[in-house]
Amino acid sequence: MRTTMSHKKRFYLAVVLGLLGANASNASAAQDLYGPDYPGVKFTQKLFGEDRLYFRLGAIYMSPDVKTNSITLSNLSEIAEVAVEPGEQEGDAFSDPLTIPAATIGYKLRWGVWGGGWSLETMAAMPPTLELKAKGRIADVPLVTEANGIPTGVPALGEKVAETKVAPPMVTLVKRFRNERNFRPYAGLGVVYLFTYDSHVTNPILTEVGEPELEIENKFGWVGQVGVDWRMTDYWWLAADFKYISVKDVSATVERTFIRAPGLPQYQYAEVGDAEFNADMNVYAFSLGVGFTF
Amino acid sequence: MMRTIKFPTIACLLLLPLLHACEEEPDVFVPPDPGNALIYAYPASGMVDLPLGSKLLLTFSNGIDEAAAKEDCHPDGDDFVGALCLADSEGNLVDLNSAEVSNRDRTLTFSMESLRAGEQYRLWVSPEIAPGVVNLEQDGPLITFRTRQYDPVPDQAPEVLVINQENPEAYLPDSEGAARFPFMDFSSVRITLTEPLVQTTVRYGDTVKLEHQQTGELVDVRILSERHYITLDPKEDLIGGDTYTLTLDGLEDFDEDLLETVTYTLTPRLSKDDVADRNPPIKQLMKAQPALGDPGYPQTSRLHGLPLNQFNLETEALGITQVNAMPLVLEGWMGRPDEHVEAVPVVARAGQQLRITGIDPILLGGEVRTPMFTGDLIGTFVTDVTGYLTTNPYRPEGFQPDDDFAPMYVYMNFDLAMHAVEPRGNASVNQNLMHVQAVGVVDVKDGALTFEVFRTLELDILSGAAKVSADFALGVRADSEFEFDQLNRDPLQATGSFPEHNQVQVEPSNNIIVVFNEPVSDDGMEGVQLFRQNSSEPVPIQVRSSGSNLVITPLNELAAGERYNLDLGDNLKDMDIFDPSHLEFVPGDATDGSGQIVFDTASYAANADAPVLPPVVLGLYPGIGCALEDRGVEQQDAQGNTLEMAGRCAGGLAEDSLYYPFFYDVSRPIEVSFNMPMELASMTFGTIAADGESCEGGAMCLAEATDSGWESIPLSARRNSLRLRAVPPPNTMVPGKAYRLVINGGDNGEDVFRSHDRFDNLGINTDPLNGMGTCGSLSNMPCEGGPPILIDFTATADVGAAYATVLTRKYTDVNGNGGQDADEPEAEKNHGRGFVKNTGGLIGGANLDQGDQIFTHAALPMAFLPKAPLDLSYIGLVDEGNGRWCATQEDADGDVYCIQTVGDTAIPVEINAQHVMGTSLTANANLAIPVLGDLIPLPLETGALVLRFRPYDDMPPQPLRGFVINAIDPDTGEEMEDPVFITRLDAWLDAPDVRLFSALIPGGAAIPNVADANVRSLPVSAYLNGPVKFLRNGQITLESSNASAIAASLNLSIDLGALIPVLGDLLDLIIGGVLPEEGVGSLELGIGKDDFRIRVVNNPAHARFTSVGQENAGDQ
Repeated sequence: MRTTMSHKKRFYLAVVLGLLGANASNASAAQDLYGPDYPGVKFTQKLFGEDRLYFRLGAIYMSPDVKTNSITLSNLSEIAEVAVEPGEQEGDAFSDPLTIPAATIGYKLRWGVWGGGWSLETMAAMPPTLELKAKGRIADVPLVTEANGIPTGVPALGEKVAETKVAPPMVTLVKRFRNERNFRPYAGLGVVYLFTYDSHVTNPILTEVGEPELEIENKFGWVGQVGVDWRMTDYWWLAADFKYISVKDVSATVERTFIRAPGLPQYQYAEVGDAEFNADMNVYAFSLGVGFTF
Repeated sequence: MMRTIKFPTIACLLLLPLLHACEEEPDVFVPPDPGNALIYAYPASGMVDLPLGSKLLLTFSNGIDEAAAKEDCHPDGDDFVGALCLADSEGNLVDLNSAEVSNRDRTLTFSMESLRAGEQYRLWVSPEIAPGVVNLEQDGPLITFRTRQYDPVPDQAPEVLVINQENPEAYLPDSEGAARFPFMDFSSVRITLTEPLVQTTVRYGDTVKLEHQQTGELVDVRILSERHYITLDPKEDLIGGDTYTLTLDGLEDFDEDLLETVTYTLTPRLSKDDVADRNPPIKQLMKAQPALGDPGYPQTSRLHGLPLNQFNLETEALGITQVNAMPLVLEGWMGRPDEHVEAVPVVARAGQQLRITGIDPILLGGEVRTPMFTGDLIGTFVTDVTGYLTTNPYRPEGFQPDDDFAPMYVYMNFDLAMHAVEPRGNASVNQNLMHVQAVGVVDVKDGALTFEVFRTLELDILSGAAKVSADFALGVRADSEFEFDQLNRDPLQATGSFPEHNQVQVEPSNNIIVVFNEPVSDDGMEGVQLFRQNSSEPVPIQVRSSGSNLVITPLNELAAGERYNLDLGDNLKDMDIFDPSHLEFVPGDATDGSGQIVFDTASYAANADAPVLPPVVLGLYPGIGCALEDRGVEQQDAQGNTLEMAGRCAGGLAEDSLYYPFFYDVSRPIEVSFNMPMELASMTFGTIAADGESCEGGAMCLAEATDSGWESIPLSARRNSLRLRAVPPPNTMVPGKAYRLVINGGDNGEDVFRSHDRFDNLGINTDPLNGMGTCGSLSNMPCEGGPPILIDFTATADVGAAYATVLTRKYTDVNGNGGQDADEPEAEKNHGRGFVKNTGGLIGGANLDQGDQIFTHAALPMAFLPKAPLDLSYIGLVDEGNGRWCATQEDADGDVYCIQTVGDTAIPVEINAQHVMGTSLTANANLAIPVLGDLIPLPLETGALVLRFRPYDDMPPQPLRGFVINAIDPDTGEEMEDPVFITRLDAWLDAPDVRLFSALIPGGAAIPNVADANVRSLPVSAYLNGPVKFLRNGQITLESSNASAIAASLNLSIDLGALIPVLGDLLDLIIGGVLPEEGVGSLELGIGKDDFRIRVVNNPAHARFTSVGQENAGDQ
């Protein structure tokens, strides 16, 4: 069953989606609605127009590739300075790959440039909990073996450092090719905003006395993607997508850290100071999903 | 304050559909607020042996309410209630109004000068002293401490006060008490006693033993022993976990009171990872920082607000000298803090040094220049430094250290040998500072541990003549990057000795002291040996080190009249921890490059015809060594004050001026010096008789004047053959009160001081002016006895004077018989050379030929008083302007004495009036008979002479004084390098045993009762001046000679009838009426300028004092 979207609604839609879609919406305003009679399809088509909105639902495998620029200790307390020099430390941060359910939502534009096939995409997913880990010297060698020659008894930090929830909204402009075929490769480019929240230090040494404050910088980055859609039916698609997400120069700061030094039991605790990790956050993301185009 | 992560609320809201939750705030640790507090206190509770110059410090993290701190305290049972209360063991409160608040109102400082020696004090501190403090809610006193006991205590056996600053009961077997700090495997054993010991009773392996309990083996230790200190420093660390026994058996004080035999058990705790390790596991390099030359030097001490690593040596004797710490690095070792949680042990091995700038040059009173320099002052740790790190003791156990509110604490215990770079300065200041505990805080600053410890150090200066207190806040930074210099640049050298190499007339019972340029290691001391000439058998000796001295005590009195040879051996070396250098012998050193010090003991042999004289009290403080007459006669001084004069010596003339009243500085011992070696066993103390005129049960006694008469005060004493140094119980003498010192004369059979056996054990002569060797029916017997010497005096407070009884050295008449014997060489610096200026009456002519010298012997108690504006009018000189001072009258040669001074400050020198003994003078006179001419040779022998100091008759009563000044050399017109001592010596000359010989009698024997000479209170006067010099053996000399000529006229009354029974009658017949029955003649004797010389020196700091029983300790 086809219904016709009123001009007024289309106008509102154009306002919501913005200028990028404005021309296209005007061009498609006269088209008839199509599609299966699934609940909500018509409604969606009324809102966005026919053959405009699509989504893919599937799983995404994200493999973070963290390139550590620096790990810097600063604002060290007096007692911490006895044990460790402020400044850069040796070591790297990393995070394990993870796979989560994710959805891709796209909106086809009516641009005729380079044969059309343009769309805007974004991803939606339950925010993953990213475990931040350390490796190398900073993880394997006690950072403060001695304070003025006195063994502190503080063990190596180990791998586990912190965890944070990540919600990286991104928008990509996608160009699909061979739009008249069932097999449609595409490529896209966009921006991503690295948004983290609920960040906690989880290292047992750093949290023995109390939990330090962890603040991870929220920052824009870019994302590039390639993929292919395979049209199974008029509306249903299989999709495979690869994204490269890069957020450069991300800083994470750990403050108000107190530790216990078993070698110095005269001190119940020892204030440390600030640690700042600076890294390029790169993520390789593969997703497979099934999609539907309204 | 807890900080919350900023959360972008708007973003959260926008993304809410995508986020399953907003973030949770982290559970950030917020340290508890420590609160304001008392963060440091000195002394630490339990400290003992605190010098009276110490400062009490209380440092808070917030401001002190000074008014509250000085409010009155009120008793509450055994405690006191108030912001700040200090009380002694009897509950007497100490006035704290002199306490000062400084350091941004954070520190309260109180000088302990007003406290009593050897007393236990308690300090209560409540929160009112600094509103807001949270750590002063304790019950009872916050701190207890004990001041130093300097002198022997009469009627009291010595006790062990502390061992390593711990109550010794903690080390008794089966003791339930625990020490505050663990005894460590590297610990020295520092035994502090309640009073000084006779050092010959301290014999390791005999009276002092440290043994391994299981094997019974004696531990090989380096022993340091002096005054009331014994330190045993094991040469190898003890075995942690094993038990050792420390046995003290047979230690005696100077009154021969015996320390009760006691055995302690010590179980050291292992400080190392393994018993076989040389040191605890954690190495620390520590450097005084910032020190002189460092940026930002000096910093301010947080403990007292004054400069860190810089302090003032402040004393009346030397003025104020600022001293700066030098940046030397020390190596220390620390036990593992996780294994020694309560107290982290620290050790710095012996042989390492601290260095501070010195006193260059030494200025007497801070004004009068001397040519003496100390160079840098060096403190060598002569035993291992033992330390502990703890949490702040004024916070609950386990309290988190906080640099500002609860800093970590450090306790350091050490024995420090102080010495100086320049030899003469070193000889004057080198000494051991024993059992020092410094307490401080440990901060973490600029990436390193910084230690700041405080201690008031008390140094003896000028060979013990004065004390100086130094409030030393030492700041040390620990950093493994410090460069640790292990080079030893200074070879060990012997720079001075007492006696000097090739010295003669040496007292056989004194110590031998060798001064080195730095402390001497224990290793090699066994090679120091003393030999009698022509004997290969070494003389038994005890060798001790103190400062950079070696003190050698012959265990038996040396033989008189023998040559001895002290061989320093080949193995002496310094204490350098890494590269000890061996003793180097060089020309000009104490051995003149030979490695041996050769000296001759006095023989005391008298000529066959010499008289035998009883001993006399040569010097007495307070007072004078003669029985006094006209005591208490009132006179007025220049200010119109009525004085009760001290009296005049019995046997002088009735018109003799009276001595100024006697005063006694309570910081000084009572000193009795003798003119010949004495029997130590006769130096006994009794109690005063009811009439106050004699002592019962002893030769000397002291009493306080009371409303009902006299109350005896017990005395303790250190003795040697020439001197008795007595002290009352601590704090007994009260300034302003009247006392009496009595020395028995023995006329009524009382106990008296007696001469040494070799001088016939004669009783003392208390009125030598009435004759010394002319008693008995034939006027040829020793004049023992006399009236008691009664010295009434008033006690006065310590004014910081440097005092010493100085002795004429070298001197001729060592046997005290009043003549120069064949074995007694001429001491040309202690003599007067006279000549006959004129004759008159029946004396037709006279000369002094071979016997024209009087050799003098004196013991003069002197005190260098606080500096004063230069005013020589005190001694009768007139200021002529531009520093020129002149006498008002011509001297015997018709010259007027003048001196050109430099500067406007002088050091007044209190000279206690004494009598000086002189050897006999022989004049060859001729009796001139009218008409017949010079017929009869009449040799005159004065016998022993007595030169009594005489008050200035041309001035109102005043104490006798001299002055140390800077002056111009009249010969060169240049300022003299040495300071100059100047005084006017007015004296009476007496010849109590004057004898006339007659050539008409075969052999020229003396004819008794034929002549009377007025050599009785014969007044002489002269200005004496000369340089003050500092010797390389630590002695200070005043070398004076008369700068103005002296003349004295002797009038002789001659019983011609008795002298020439036949000729006289004949002459009477011939020229009857011409020759009177009593002939009269006169001799005018003169002493030219520079012909009366007196050279006095102080006793060396380590001169021997002992007890009767230990005089010949080798016999035991």
